[in-house]
This record gives sequence, C-alpha cells and structure tokens, in this order.
Amino acid sequence: MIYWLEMGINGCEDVEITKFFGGIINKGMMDVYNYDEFVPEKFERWMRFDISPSLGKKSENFTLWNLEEQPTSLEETLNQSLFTVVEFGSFT
Amino acid sequence: MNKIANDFSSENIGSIFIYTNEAHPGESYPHLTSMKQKNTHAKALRDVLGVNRPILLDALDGACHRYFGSMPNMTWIFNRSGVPVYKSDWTDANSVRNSLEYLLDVVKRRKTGVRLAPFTVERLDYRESDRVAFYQRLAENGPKAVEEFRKAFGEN
Repeated sequence: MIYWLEMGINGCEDVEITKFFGGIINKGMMDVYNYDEFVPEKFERWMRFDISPSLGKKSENFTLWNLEEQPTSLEETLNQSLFTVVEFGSFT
Repeated sequence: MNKIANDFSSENIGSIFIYTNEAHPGESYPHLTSMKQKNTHAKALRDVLGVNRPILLDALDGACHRYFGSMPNMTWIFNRSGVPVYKSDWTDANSVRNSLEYLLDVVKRRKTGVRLAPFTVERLDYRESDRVAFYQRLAENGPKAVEEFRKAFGEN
C-alpha cells in the first residue's frame, strides 16, 4: 500500500493511472469528478439519480478503503448484515 | 443518521458512510487530488462532524458513487445479497427509519409463513430544510464554498 500515500495527481499519466489500489483510474474522469468549484457546468452533470440502478437487482461490486487504508469491497460489507444503510457524502 | 445506526444495530442492520468527492469545495476543504487527502477529509468527517459509522473511501474517480447516481448526499439500503431495496436522492433520517421499520416487518411476516412478493413503489418524502444551519455548515468549508453556492442559486 505504499502508493496509497504517494499517489496524487502530480506524476500521473495523462489518461490512466494504473495499479492504483489494484485498479485502473481514469485521470480525466478523476479530474472532472473532483470538480474544484461549485458551478452548474461542473456539478450538474453528477446529479444523475434518474439513471441510477433499479431496486431489486443485484448491484455491481466496488473496491472501497477504510480509514486504515485497507481495501474491502461493497459486497463484503453488505454481506455482514441483514440490511445495510449506505450514506454517500463528504465533509463539504 | 448516527442515531439510526445505533437504534437498529441490535436488529442486525449495518450502517456505513461512503466518502465521495467534495460537493462544496472551499479553502478549508478543497477538491480532492489524492487518496491521502481523501483520507484526511474523511477523518475530519469523523472527528469534526462526528460521523461515528464506519467510513469507507470510494476510489478517487468515484466509481461506486457514480454507479449509484452520484448525488452529493444520498442514501441506499441493501439486503445481504447486495440487492438495493431503498434509494433516496437525499439523506433523511425519518425516511430511512421508516423504511427500516417496514423492512424489518417484512422479515417478521415472512417468518410467520406469509408469502410475500416484491414490488416497486415511488413516494415523495419530505425533509427539514434549515437554510441558516446549511449556510453555517457551508462556511466551515471556507468562504469560497459559500460564495459559489450563493451564485449558483442566486441567493443573497
């Protein structure tokens, strides 16, 4: 997990960052997704609840990381309880 | 939402918080450029804002968040098999509590032998909207976040 602490935008490939926690990250997507100012042309594109997955169908699995920098997965987390409440958000 | 996590944990209901992009980046908490920074912001969410549920970081490109619609503060409920049974484009504790109580009742009814088939329902729920409190929270991100929000929604 050395790359956890070292990986930032500086030094990344223009198109993709590989071996990023075992996955592939698109830098272009990363930059657009992490918009630097709250202006409609930058945030409105992400308000896409209308195309979110339907209820009742098994979701895709995703790698997630805890605050101790250890990887886990959404599936592994959900498997631990009868139901799991998942809130999405940030400090801001 | 912390209280809901506590209230329902004995019913085998898990609760997690998935850390996304910054919705209102400001001077104190700017937009994310690394996982290290994302980790630092997530720890502030825990230590400053008091989120005591397990916090998990999404990838820096928001793969998980984007898959589920990338709303800034949405909530989903999943069953053990990873099937979503509730989704809300904003987080509201009353709505989540109401849904959990319903879901637990479904489990009880099934245990008594009642045969139940799933169906989908849409419902308009209502959350409290405290503009003063919202702006106070926004100010913690930095003046930039406040100014940009005012401009985006034409508020003085």
